[in-house]
Amino acid sequence: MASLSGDQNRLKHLTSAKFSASLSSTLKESGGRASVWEGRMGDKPIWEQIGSSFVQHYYQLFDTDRNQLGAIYTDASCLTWEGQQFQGKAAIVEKLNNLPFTKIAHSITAQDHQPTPDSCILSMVVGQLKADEDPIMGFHQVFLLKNINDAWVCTNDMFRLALHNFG
Amino acid sequence: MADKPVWEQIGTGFVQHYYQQFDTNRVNLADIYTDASCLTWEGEGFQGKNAIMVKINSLPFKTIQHSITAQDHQPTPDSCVLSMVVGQLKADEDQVMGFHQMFLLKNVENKWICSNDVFRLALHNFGS
Repeated sequence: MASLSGDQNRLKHLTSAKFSASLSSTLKESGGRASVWEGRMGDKPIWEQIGSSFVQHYYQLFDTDRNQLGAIYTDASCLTWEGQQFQGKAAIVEKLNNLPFTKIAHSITAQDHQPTPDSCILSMVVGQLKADEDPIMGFHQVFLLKNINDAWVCTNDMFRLALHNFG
Repeated sequence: MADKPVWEQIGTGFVQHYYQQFDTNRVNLADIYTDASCLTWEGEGFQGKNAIMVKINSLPFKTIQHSITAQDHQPTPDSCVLSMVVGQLKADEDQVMGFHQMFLLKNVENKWICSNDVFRLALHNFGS
């Protein structure tokens, strides 16, 4: 649990007012012709820091205590889980809590982050998961993160297992 | 079962258009991007219509075919449409591979353009 609370502190730091002000000016500058990829040679771009911290936080909570994931959603958030749609923190958390496995472990293969024209952050994750004693399966997930009242929330979340060959 | 929500119509229309162009004449994809659009292709970042098209045109296969397994669409708080696609593709004589792609679509001057595009092959097992 020590590493979990450490991660939460890190996320809090990332959502500080100072940090988000600097993000919005960076995103504003990147709206023009200047390359949004500048800065990759030095520190990671700020949207990548926020996106990858979010992703780490999300899967850590999901794998240990997914009840707590309610904190990242608002009443306007949308989740599409294997094609099924849910809106709002309460409906989303109910869905996540009712998923029929008792333990799950996610392993991230690749994650990509981009700033959007409306100063949000778009994150895409490709990975593998193991639920209970099921075989390992590939998954694909997308998050749209938005800064609301100095906190980063997840406004959009889509999840699919990578199952291609039916029947 | 009323009509599909409008964001789903926009998203599926875009997805169909994108892969049809990609598989037949991907030079035409320039129309969907602007100078502010971002593409991340297998982890490599490109910004702007020109850089994106140079990348797409220089992909090293001659023929490609995408097959969509599932697509999902959502409206965003800023009136954009977020689309996620899981599918399989076959490039030249390579074996069929899974892929993952997402698009953020924005209405700019009465036209839907792609402001963000992220693509990954579904390759999980590297060496060691």
